[in-house]
Formats: sequence, structure tokens, C-alpha cells
Amino acid sequence: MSETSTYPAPSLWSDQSAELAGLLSRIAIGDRSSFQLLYQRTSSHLLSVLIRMLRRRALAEEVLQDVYCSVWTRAASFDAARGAPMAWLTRIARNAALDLLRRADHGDGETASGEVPDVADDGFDPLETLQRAADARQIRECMGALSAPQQQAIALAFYRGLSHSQVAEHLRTPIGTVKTWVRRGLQVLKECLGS
Amino acid sequence: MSSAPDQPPFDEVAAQYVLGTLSGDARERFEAQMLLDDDLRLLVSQWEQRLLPLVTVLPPVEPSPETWVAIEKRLFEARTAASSLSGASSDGAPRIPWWQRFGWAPALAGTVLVAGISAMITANVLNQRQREAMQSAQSAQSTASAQATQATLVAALSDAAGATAVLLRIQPVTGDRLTVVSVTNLRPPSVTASQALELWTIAPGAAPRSLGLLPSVDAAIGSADAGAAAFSARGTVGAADTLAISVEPSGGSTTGAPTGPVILQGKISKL
Repeated sequence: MSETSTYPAPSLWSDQSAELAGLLSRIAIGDRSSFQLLYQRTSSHLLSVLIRMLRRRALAEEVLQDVYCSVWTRAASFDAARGAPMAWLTRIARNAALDLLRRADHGDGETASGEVPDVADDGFDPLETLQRAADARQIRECMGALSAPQQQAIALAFYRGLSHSQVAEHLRTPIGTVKTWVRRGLQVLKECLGS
Repeated sequence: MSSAPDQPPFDEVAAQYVLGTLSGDARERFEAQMLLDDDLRLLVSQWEQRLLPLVTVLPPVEPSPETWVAIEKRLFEARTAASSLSGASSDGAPRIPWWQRFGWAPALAGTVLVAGISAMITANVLNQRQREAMQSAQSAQSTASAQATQATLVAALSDAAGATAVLLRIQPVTGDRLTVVSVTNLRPPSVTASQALELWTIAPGAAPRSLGLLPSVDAAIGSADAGAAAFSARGTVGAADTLAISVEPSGGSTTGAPTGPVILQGKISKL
């Protein structure tokens, strides 16, 4: 796996939405070949999300299994009028990872986000990635409207799945300040992007 | 929906939910509210759309081939093994009730995703706005309003081969009433005139409870007008339940348990 491997430009994703939505509708009626195709098209992207958040390759692949088992059973609830298939898939994946991370915060700590990064995560920089995301036409200007601390707080929360208090710890900043950065940052993004 | 300055909280909470910064309790409460509130779901979708470029910019990482093999195994091998409902002891395996044999492997696999979500609508997840809406819905006996304020559950019931044959949408009403608001026929199960199809719900580890007979096979299940059929049933269903359809004598099972073959089954999921 290489950080420099090619990946579709964000604009290509909207072109793929119709295809992925079609696959999901066939999965909803039990079409296994569509399921396999959906997996081939999307699993490497969801795994990438999971690895950033869980920071352990093996654990991320386990959660990936849960995610696609859930996709199989819940495909009927995907509503193409309500958003992109990739957004729906991402929600399932991120929620699964967040469940694990938050549970770890309260208990065994086995999957705590502060753990030493796994090799799969080498060289990953949340802030740099967020700024690269800004190359996507839709949000290029909007990311620039965020202050650097706002960008960093949002990047850590989104890519690492960190809670407010973990972001605060990471940035050595009072939690109230972090909450404000995040809230204001999201607000600026929304105003800039429109609804 | 517009973001009127006098109601930022909902949109703000939706944004925090998508970002992942809602604390555990707040996140669970919000998810419960989402089940009840179309507007909230819309706000969440809009935020997911806004933040999607943050995901698509990540360089993909190919999963190992074993991961796909494991997914297929969990979803399809368990289902196939579980579908041999009547031949339980032919292979010398201990004979255990059929409803404890099927589906649990994928069900457990999904636990991490559905944990904490219950279809039983409880008062403490309702905010004032929803409570008012629900009261007015009840007093007006308005099905439309009730549908807008309560969770809709869906279940895709599959046959032994894993092919989905029937989609059910279930609308909890009040108390122990529920309405199956649509039965979408994809592959009509065939039964004779002296037979009926009975719908069962099975909570994890519990025995099946009847939810009643499906409406006339010709009228509903066999209807060419997919999705048109609806019927009312009495009973409670939980979000972790499995629904099953068995073939019974016309009039339904007289024993309180399925007597005929279970031809379709599937997990409930939230819409």
C-alpha cells in the first residue's frame, strides 16, 4: 500500500454515485454479484478511512468486515434522494470506528486512539490531507476561509476520530477553545458552501 | 431546510455528529432522535455531503483478500447452514430450535453497528417538538402524522438461497400495535389455497411470537402492484429481532409456534 497510489479525483466520485446507487438497489434485493462489485469499488476507500481512525491495519480490516455485513443487510434503507452512496457508506464505516474508539476511551483502552501508529498509517498527516481535500472544487475556497487552528481541530476530529477532549490534549489547548474552533470552523464551512 | 439563525442547535449538533465529536451519550440520544425526525436526517445528510471531499481525498488502501472471504463466509455460509430448517439432526448435530439456529452469525457481526438502538419508542428520546407532534397525531388519529414522528423499520426476508423475496416496512403505532405499511413482493412465495403465510418475530434467544397472517396471498404477496399491500398487526418488535414467514394451514398455526416450513427470514433494520 502506498500513500502515493492513484485515486479518483473527487469530481469522479459524483460520476460514480449513480453507479453505486444502482448497485445498492440491487443489493437490497439480494444480488450478491452487485455486492461484490460494490465491495471492489469502495472497500479500499473505507479501509483507508478506518485505518486513519483505528491506526491498526488488522483491526481496521476486522471492522471493514462488520461494515460490509451491515451494508448487505441495510442496503434497502439507502435512499438515493437523500445523499451520495459514498456518504452513506462512510457513515456506516465511521460510526463503527467511532463506536470502538469511544468504547475504548471508557474501558479496556485496547484501541485507544493515542496508541503507537501502525505501519499502515506511516506518514499520514491529517492536516495536510484536509488541505489536499480542499483541492476539490466544491470546498477549495471554503477551507481557505478557516483559520489554521480551526482546520487542525477539524482534521484531527474527522480523520482520527478524536473527541473534543482528545483534540484539546493533542493540541495542548483548553477544551473550551477547541470546541469553539470546531464549532466556528464548521459554521464557516457551511456558510461558504451553502446548503 | 433553511438554517434560520434562531435554530442553530439542530444543525450544529448534526454537524458535530457527522464530524464525530458528539460525546457518547449525546451521540446515542441524537441517533435515537434521528430515527424519529426526518429533518434531522436531512441535516445529517447535508453535512455528510459537505464533508465527503475529506474522505474521497484519502489514498485508497486495498484490503487483504482474506477480508472479502471472511465477509462472504459470515453473510452467506451462516445463512445457508441455517436454512436447512428441518434436517437438524441428520448430520448428528444437536437438535436445537430453528429460530436459534439461523442468522445469528451475521446478527452478532452487526452488533457493533446497531448496539444501543432500540425500536421501542421511549419518551426520553423525544424532544418537546416531537412529543407535541405525537400527541396531535394520536388525538387526530392521523396515520400520516404518526408516520412522520415514529421510526420506520424495514426487513428484507430472504429464502434459503439468500435471495430476498419480500420487503416489509413496519410502522410502530401506539402501545403494542404496529402496522406493516407495505409488503413488497419481489419473488412471490407460492402457497396453495388451503395454506396461509404467517409472520413471526423472534427476539434474540426467545421463541417466535406470531404477528398474524399476511393478507391474502393473491391480494398482497402475489400482488402485481408491488408495495401496495399493507396490513395491521398486533405485537411488539425490537430492532434486534428477526422476522420470519412460515407456511401454515389456512387460519394460521394453532399451536402458537410455527408448524410449517419457514420459507423466509430476515433481520429487522432501521430505515
